[in-house]
Amino acid sequence: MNNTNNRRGKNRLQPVLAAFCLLALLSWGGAEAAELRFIYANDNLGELDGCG
Amino acid sequence: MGGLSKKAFLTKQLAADSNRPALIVNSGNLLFPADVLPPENMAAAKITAAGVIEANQKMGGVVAGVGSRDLAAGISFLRQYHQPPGWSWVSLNLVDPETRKPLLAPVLWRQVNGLKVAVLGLADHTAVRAEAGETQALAWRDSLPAVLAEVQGEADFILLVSNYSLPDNQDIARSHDAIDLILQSGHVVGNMTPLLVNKTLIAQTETRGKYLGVLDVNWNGHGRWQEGEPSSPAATEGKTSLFANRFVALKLSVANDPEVETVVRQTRRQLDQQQRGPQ
Repeated sequence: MNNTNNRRGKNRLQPVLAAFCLLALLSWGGAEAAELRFIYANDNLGELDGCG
Repeated sequence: MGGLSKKAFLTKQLAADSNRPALIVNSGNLLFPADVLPPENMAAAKITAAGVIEANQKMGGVVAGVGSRDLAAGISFLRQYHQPPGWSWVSLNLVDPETRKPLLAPVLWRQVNGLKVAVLGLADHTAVRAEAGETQALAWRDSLPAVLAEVQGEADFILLVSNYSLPDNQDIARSHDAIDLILQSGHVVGNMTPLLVNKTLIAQTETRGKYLGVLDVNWNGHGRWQEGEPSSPAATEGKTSLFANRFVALKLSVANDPEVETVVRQTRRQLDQQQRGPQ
């Protein structure tokens, strides 16, 4: 009887655990991604007035 | 008015995107037109260089790499304007000949959108003149590995600003896959669309302030690069980081930034006074 109850409890927990793991994985992957922008230039050579 | 005020107008616009925080970088040869200047031009060149630094600070720049031409007025001139966190010159291989300690910042740390970005600088040791024993430039093979070993455990992103030639930078990229991006200066390459070498992108712009490079990144951690629109849905899939690069021309039609325009005007006035001599 006790064994049956334990098994039922475990079965009920499995979807919750799976959802938790999925959420943890998603949030771990999302936290690392970041948007950024590099605005760069080189060889200005002391120009005040250079234009393209 | 000048290109710097147009550069400032565009830079401020590009940096204003709150979804994509920006790092504004000069990768070298910012200040002077040649490695050696005639003594009679030195005073004017220093006035112009001071104006160029102030203008770049006003547009949000905080860091510059050192090219051989930046040393035309000596390392002491650069050290005078090396004032972190407002403005930093980065170079890990320009050292005191006696102590072998770096004369400028070997690395600058910046937090960008939650990422710890390490900016490292290399001057081309074959191009730097040893001026009266005040500066020694070490070869990248002798100086880069130790600094990289220190930063790579802590940095989320490693940017190298390098005054070496493209073949040298390709060698660096092949030897050190911890470097994510190399921004070059010198060697008159022109606008160079990012080139992928090993795990490193290498890019450069045209000279004399004619273009701005804009590299948008969706960063998923150190690993593979792929060209693609960073804001596309695919950007969130997998461990590949996406990049999209463009070069923006500083055309005459671009508006002037009033704040930097004032700096340029003041610099011009100082140059006029200097040319007139003492009254």
